[in-house]
Amino acid sequence: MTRKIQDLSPEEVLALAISIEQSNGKALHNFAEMFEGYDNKVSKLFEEMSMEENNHEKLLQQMFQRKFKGPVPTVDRFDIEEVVEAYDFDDSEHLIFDSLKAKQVYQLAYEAENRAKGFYEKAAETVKDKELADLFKKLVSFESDHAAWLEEKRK
Amino acid sequence: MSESINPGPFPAPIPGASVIPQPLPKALTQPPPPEGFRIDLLKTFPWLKWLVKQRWFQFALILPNLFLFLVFLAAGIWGTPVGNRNILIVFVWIFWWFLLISALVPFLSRIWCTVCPFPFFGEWIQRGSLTTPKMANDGGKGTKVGINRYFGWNLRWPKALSNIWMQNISFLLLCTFSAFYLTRPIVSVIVLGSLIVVATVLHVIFRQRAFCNYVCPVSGFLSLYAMSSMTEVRSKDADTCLKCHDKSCLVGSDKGWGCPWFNFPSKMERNNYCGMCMECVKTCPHDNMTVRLRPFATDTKLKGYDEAWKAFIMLSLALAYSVIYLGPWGFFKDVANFTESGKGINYFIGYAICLWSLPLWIIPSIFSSFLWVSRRVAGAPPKPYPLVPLGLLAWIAFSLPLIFINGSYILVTMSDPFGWGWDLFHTAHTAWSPILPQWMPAIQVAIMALGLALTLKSTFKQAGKLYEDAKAKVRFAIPMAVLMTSIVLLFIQLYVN
Repeated sequence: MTRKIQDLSPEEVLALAISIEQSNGKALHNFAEMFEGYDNKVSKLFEEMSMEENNHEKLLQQMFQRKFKGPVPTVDRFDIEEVVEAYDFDDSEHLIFDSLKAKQVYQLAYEAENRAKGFYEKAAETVKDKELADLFKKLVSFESDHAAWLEEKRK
Repeated sequence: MSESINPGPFPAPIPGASVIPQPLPKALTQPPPPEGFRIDLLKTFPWLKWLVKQRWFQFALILPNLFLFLVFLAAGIWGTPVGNRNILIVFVWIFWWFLLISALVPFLSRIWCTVCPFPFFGEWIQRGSLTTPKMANDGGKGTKVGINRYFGWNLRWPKALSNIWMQNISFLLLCTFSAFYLTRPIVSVIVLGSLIVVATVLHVIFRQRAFCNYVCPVSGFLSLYAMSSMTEVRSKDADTCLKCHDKSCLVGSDKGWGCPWFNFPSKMERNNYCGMCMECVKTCPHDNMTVRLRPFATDTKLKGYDEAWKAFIMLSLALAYSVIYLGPWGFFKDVANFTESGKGINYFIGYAICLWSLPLWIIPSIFSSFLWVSRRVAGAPPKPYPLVPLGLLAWIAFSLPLIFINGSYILVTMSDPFGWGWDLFHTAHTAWSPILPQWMPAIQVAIMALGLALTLKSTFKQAGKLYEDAKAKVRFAIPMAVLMTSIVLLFIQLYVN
């Protein structure tokens, strides 16, 4: 049975954020694998972003240890209704026609991070628990930094 | 991003014109709900779901087809040179063609690609396996594509050729010389045999189904007309795909190969490049891919000039073939088959020039003229998509007489495939008897009328998306409606006469 993100406890929210970064890292790595040999430049970009997501995961793990200590509960993106942050192509036929340009790759990532930021912002406004609201605000700041980094890359 | 792939000859509306603002390009959001009904066939028929998930599914379909194909080639080499007595000519150019264009494509999309024998040997070499996928991390030899392992060079198809122009040209070439191979079994063997050889070689050199996507002349028109088909392979829930990190439909898994057609199945919105191989149905770890029934003529997005010109080519050739092969003017048939008729090669060259000019220049020019009129009177030009269902129905109308008039030869050659006097099923002496010849023009007219209705519906729908004002909608639609009606009347005139 899926839950809404506002119904999660603060530990579960952070665990979810860790899981999302982990999952995105895998998805980006899979994209990198697919473009290897097809367009090595794009493959490298996806791999670069995959490693960045892995770094985000480590930072969130450290945040969890500082705040809550103990093992990270198992919560993944399929446990909640909403889609918080997901990297995906916007067209099924990139590999048929003309691959992706670097700017498009960064655009995909930028949109994903902005969506996550927007999602956490809305969650911070609507949730009643103060500790949870503070956590969502921290995640907003986290995602904002990522979005800013990607915005620079897009230029 | 798909909006940016198609430059289109169709500029944005004139500023100040009363146009409904277009939605922003889609990012990572839920796609709009599909228009029209959708019936999940794999949910409705659990046995079908079980079947398509079997690793041996595609091989079990290809094998008998390959056997038949080899029998046909053998008949072409050793059988009678008399066309209507040779199973190759009758079954391929009459029966298969009719089945393909009138039944398989309109109802089952690119299901022919599922069973096609052309890529069989090449794909077998490339995969090193008939059914079981190979994994890149199992320590075996080969090249990694996604997380599967392939043999061969697996080079990327050249970017400059990553379109369907080669298929457009190869189909035009085939049609130009059609009179030769449609009547001569040995020439058909050369044509079809060459395609198998080319497919095999390209599978060894390039990644996955590069031959099918970029070279095969049959694939070219299948990609266009699959847009009108009543079957689609799609993801069930977009959020499930977004949340998935495996992306197995794209990169493969131990359950199956990554999409051989270079598609990203979870994001598929149109049928053009889906070969219905069902690998994505097998590999999806969330059981989120399915096959659905939908209304006719659902996909409406043409990307790029290559696809737009494919629509022009197919419609033009339906018209040309109706004149050459169904018309009362024997002159055209003689010119097309000049080595038998005795007409000089100069006539043939003139015929070839006319045949190529029609789809590459004349029809597009006429279309552009009407687009110009639309732009002048309404501020925006319509998209060329309505040519797709109209072209398909024109080909169906052309193909019906093939089977209705020549269908009895199917029974004859079934029993005597080589023309050697066999009678395997006791039908070798079936007398030639056309089916409902007196009704043929009426049936063809009805089909073309349906084509016109669909075309007009699509054009007015485009108008509805762009304009709120009823008069503006009419101004937008009228020029294209006039053009399409004229084309249909031309076809009807040919069939009725």
